[in-house]
Amino acid sequence: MDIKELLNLVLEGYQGEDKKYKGIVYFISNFTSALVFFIIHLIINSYEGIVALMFISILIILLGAILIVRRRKLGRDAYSYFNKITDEIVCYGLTCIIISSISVFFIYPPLLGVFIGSIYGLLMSVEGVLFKSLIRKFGGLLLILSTLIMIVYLDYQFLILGIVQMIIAILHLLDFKKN
Amino acid sequence: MDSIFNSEVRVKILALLYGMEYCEYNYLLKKLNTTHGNLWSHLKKLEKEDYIEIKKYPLKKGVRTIIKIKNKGAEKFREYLNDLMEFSKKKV
Repeated sequence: MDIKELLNLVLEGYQGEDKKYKGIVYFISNFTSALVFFIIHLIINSYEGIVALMFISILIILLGAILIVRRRKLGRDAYSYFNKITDEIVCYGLTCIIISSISVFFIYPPLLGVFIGSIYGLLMSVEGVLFKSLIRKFGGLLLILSTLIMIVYLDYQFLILGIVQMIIAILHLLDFKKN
Repeated sequence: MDSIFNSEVRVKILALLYGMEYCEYNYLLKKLNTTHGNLWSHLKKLEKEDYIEIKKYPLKKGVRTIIKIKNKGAEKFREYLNDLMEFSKKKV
């Protein structure tokens, strides 16, 4: 057996992932977050029925979390070291999103969506690079670039964020169906 | 060199498992493109030598078989890889 072939196999092991599992989980998380962003846009732009809309968005988040936990309980086919590293990066990334969201909310609230979009986009691109996933790299870049449009149309930032998330969710669904 | 590394399938199994926390049996079967019987016999041999760990979990439909590389297996594979690299350097 050729040494190059062997090293490629080792790298393949490091990058090993359960594509079906990730496809489902990413579709659920992107789809639910897109719906929540649409509702946030509605809450910000219309002051009618705020309580009902907030109740619906919490329900959607809960539904998404339940679906992901249920899928996680079934277990994944492969869990590589890159998966382990990514899980850790996502934990730190989410902490960064929460803390910076709080800071931005108190300093300049209209830029909230821009911050969330760019950090989330960066996290997605990092994962795309680690696992050589074109969809995640493209999705992350799309999110980062969409923040430029958000700055121009600040009133529609959550709507834009929701649309981009929905596009990424559809791409994940198509990729999952292809596999 | 360890007799375990005489088989290409066993080397491939260890190479794949080296960078993984764990993987499912069917994942390995698909990646190595081999037969069920062949893969299982090699896995059993690796388990006997304490290179890997095979765990079975009952599911509603069937059984889930998880395979994990052990410290001994990872260490031996690293040594094998180092030997192979040194050998190829000398050859050049």
